[in-house]
Amino acid sequence: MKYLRYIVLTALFLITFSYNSNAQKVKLLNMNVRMSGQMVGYSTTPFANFIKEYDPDFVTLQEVDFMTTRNGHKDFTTELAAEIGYFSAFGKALDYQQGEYGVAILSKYPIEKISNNGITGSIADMKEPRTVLYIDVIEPVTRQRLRIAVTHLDHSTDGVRSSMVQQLNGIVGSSFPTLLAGDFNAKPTESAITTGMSSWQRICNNLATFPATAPSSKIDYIFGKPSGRWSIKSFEVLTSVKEITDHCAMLTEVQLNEM
Amino acid sequence: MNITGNYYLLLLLLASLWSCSENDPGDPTVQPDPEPVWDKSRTVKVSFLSDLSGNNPFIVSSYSSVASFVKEEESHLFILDKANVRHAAPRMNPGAKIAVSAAQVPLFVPTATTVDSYIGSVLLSKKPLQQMELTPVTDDCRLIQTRVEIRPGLSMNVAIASFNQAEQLTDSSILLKSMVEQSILVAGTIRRDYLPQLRSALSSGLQESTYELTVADNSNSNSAYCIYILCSKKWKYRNMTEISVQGTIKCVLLEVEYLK
Repeated sequence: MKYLRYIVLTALFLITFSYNSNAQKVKLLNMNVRMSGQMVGYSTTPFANFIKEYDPDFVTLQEVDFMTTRNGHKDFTTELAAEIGYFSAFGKALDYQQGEYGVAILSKYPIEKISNNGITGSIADMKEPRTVLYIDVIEPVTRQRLRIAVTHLDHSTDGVRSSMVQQLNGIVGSSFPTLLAGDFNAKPTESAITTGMSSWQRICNNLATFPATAPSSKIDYIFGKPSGRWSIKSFEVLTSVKEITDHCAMLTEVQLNEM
Repeated sequence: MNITGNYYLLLLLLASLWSCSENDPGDPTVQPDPEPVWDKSRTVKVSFLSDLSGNNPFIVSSYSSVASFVKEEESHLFILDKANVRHAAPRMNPGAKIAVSAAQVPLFVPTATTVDSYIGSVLLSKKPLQQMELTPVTDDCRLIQTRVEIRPGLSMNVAIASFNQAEQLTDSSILLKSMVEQSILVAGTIRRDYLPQLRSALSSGLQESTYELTVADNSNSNSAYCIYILCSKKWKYRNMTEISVQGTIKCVLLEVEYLK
């Protein structure tokens, strides 16, 4: 009987161990690239070098230009993806300077789906229309479909941002395990975060992310869905990015647990 | 003359008229039925850039020539066939590199995965796609369906699907059947050895009179891969032009008309 107990316990340990080793870890880096690289002459190379240092599975980007006058009619997203050998998707928020302005996602894995959707708020208060972009990928080890989303909310009022978050929740849905990152332009106490994002698991902490030179405001976030299914292996606010952009980057490694 | 006599006379007249209108196959002066006139304003141009060897021909030294070609040539769709993405270090995405120089946006469509690379094609478009979803054929093989504006007011759906494994063909039959039924033009590359499997997959789900499968007649008839075009009878395959791009890379330009 004693031996049987040992055998059962050992078997349980082995099952648990093999289950954990198969669970997927995902590394995500978020960056607001400040007017598509305005601080570095609109070059993608400093961003490529920064990303390579951390080797993330996904990179979520805000303030990205597509073929605008100010960035010399460059496709920032594709250039950056080409430099680091990733797949990419760009989501337009608005037409800008003969080109487009919005958000982007870079992925190590082939992209199964791209969906970009405009989000708005009260016309009287809203400064600019914004967008939420998501991609779906198949994680190669577990074959789990993952959704990676990015947004950059308006810098007007909490009311506008709350309206945008409500739309965002409907767009991103809950069909697949999801990581959402971006510049929410909202402090942790605002209702856009406390109420609007209450169905999400907070992946980031409350350390300030802006300005990168001397961070004093927390306005950039990473969230996960379903709530409670993500184990946070690490999270860092990276100030070393201050030479190339005005927001701190955020880096996290998370693991999706089975239900 | 009675009524029966009138009928006989009428039958005789009809028989003589019938014999006059019948083509005599032995008569060289008789013209065959005219082909419907090729309406180029209803024709979609699809360009495959490939060496049809099954290997990735897009090496660093070819990027600028391929990009210049894409910038200068006129085509509704450019496909960089086997622009494989290396996922082992150092990562390399040739389709993205070429797209940057050609001022295009790349979209990767996987066919298979190996220990160090994603095998597949890159579809180039002028603007970033805001909505897109690949359709699974097998675990690693995907089909992309895209809307092509042939001319203002005439847009058609075109699908690209390439195959390098026999089981992909078995699994694709329902999907390809559905494409034909929706009059979606399908094109892609396929290992030449697997053409019989493709024909068999199609014939098991579709009546032969409802579709047309054409294999583009590229100059190297022994190439490991070839380009196929599958469409319903609403489409007519019109022409293929083969143009040298750089080294072994050629552009196979297919012209397929959407009939009125």
